[in-house]
Amino acid sequence: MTRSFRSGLLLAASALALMTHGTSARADAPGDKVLTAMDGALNRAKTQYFEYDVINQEPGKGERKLGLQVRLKGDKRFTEFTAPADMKGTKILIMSPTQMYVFLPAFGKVRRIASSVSDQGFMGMTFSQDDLASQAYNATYEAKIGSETPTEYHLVVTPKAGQTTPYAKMEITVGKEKMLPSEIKYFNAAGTNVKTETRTGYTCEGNVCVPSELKMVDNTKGGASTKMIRTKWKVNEEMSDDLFSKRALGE
Amino acid sequence: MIRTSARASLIAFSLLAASSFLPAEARADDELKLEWTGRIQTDLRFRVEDKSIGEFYNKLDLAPGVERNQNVFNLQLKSTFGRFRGVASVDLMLNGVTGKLDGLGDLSTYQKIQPFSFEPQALYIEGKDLIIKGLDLRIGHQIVSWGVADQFNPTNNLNADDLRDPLLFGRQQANFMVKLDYWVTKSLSLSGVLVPIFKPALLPYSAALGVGAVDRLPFTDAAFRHRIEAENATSGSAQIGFPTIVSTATPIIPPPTPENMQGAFRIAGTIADQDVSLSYYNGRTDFPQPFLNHTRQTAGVQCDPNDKTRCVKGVLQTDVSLAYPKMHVYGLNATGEVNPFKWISDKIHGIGYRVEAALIVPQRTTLQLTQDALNVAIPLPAGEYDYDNNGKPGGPQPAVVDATAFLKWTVGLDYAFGDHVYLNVQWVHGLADEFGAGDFLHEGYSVRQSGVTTTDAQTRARCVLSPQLTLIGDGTKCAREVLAPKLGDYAVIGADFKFLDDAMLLRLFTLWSMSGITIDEWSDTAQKRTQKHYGLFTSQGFSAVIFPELDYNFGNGLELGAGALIELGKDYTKFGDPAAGGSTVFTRGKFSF
Repeated sequence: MTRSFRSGLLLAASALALMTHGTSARADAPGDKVLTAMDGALNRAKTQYFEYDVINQEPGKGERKLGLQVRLKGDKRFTEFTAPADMKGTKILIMSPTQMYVFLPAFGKVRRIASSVSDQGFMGMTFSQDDLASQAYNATYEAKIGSETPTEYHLVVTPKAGQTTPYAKMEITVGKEKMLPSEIKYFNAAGTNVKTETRTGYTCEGNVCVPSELKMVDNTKGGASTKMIRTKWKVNEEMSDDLFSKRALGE
Repeated sequence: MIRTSARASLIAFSLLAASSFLPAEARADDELKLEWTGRIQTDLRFRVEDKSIGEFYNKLDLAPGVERNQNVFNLQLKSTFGRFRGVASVDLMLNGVTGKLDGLGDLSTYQKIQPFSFEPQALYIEGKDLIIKGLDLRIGHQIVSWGVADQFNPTNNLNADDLRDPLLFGRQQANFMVKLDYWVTKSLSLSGVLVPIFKPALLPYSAALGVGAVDRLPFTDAAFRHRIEAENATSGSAQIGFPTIVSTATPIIPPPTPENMQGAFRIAGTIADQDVSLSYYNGRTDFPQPFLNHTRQTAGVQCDPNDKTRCVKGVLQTDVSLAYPKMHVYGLNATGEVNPFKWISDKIHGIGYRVEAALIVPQRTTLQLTQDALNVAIPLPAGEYDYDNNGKPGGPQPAVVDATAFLKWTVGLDYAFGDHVYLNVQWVHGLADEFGAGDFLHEGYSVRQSGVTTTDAQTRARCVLSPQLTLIGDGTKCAREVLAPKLGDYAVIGADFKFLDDAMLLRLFTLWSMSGITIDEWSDTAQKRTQKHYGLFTSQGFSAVIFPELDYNFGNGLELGAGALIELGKDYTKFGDPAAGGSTVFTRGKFSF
């Protein structure tokens, strides 16, 4: 196997992580209601198309850039890499969490990928796959309102009993106007703030709003950061199911 | 050739033309898009051991030193207009290792001093939803990759292998094809491929050493092999002094007639989240088999430069003609994931599995042996060999490939452990160059080394010539063979370890020959031939490849790496074989743009 084959696996892992979780739980407390409302606001679109410029920055090192095109429809996701050049043309199709494929241009071949790759990191990004996957929280977390301003809720979010989660605690700042997160602080079991994510520049199409920039700072790596800058976005456009097939991958 | 490819092109272009009369579904946002990509890659490799084969009169040698200094410039153009696309990709390869010069004039020839080549890697056009929705057509110089296993794909026979670079094992060469796919649903497809012109496998540069192994007799019939082994030992004995060598080996490519076109069909779909396909291929193996040996006697004393007492009076030069036997291949592929350990913890994910199996029905291939008039132990007239030893030339020619159907398969599992470790394990039954029945399902061997256990006089008297100077034609009591199953079993175990935020990759892949070897020889004590098997964990049977590699991806398209390809085992084993090229260390760099 070559390096590009390996990279394909990692990309598939990332794409799997980008899948949304559409489940929701019944809220029974003010904090949970806010969390449920935020989940709803995060998952309103039927289809979405994104293009992202991704910039990884490690202290003392140069920038590493990636380019992504992402199509979303229900639980299905089709991702194509547009940069860097050695990854360009690599495509990942997620049909379900246990059925995903990668097309590697160097091999001209579609390869089935096992879901265990979702445990893998991705191209040095400070976003873990769980960070990217978490678009719905109330199935696994419960929330309390820590504080509140006229424009924002500050939620303290902890795992529900019996749930296995990647973080021991999160602090989420939710804007009251759109009910969408502007900042998420992630804490480990020792209570250390290991990462901080900011989502800025929300723009809306109808009632669907998404940030134009996401930034994750890893406090355990000297402030290494990843920025995902949205360069194109289409929402609720007609997307044929054929776009989410092995044929579309290039087989 | 022209006629055949023209016919295939006509079929293909007719389909394209037909599609042009259909109601166009050009969309307003269709526009011509051109996309250029490229790559500059440099490889520097060193062979770290001397590998040679043959005796002083036919010795072939791979010396330690620079094995390869190859620089590649690849340029690819993709042109897309709505449902239609054209792809062109070419490699310009500059090889820093200068070949043999034929004279002073070569010093004025750039190509001789700086050898370079130009290799088209892809040149095709394609259209989607032609004639009817779901019908896709691709015509031109392309690679069609079937088979779900990683690198070891017995059902993937449409393109010939490109084995010139052992680090790129599994690579294939593009060929002209017409490929038609019909997507019945988004997960069920029917495919048909026509390959008008057969292409043989490209072999590693070290494969030329294979002709030095004249003792690796290809005959399937053991008794016939023993006879030839005894006769070769006698002709090459000190008294007679005419050993056999291979002078030339000439592949004969099948003519480009309609009956030599290759074709394949496949039905592929998804059942209960598992991907399954059935395929059929009608064509040829891309690895050559001998079908004609012609031997001539050449006098001329030669002595071993290291031992002047070892001399031969001449050689029996054999010219070998090679062909590519036909075959039918019935393929089964299945891939998906299973999770037998989910009950232990939800954190355990599915294990990826791959099953690829091919039932191969080969064309029986025989080897005709002819000769000029020879005068070795006894005078032999020009003509055909007396196969059945009835005193008359000719008889039933010995087979080198039996018509017996055989199975090849690859079964693999892979799993990623956390952030940093990925494991891939495969059981491969039959490598790409192994052809013909012979495994634990049906006995059959390939000879890795042969000779005799007897003295020259004993060999002559017991197995070659009677006191009346007639040929005995029975080498049973003389021949000794080192055998391996025609289809070996191999364990492929590989792991990736990632560091430094995925920028650094340490890869360790290994390939182990599980079949070992069997020594087959006559036992005076038992008064019969006996066999003794030596497995993987014996010095005689051990054979493996260890392939460690360290890569660093600097991002933005630049990647540097270094590693080694370590081939272990005795010269008669699969990977210790000098024709496999010997162990190398390498560095390589790549910039993609």
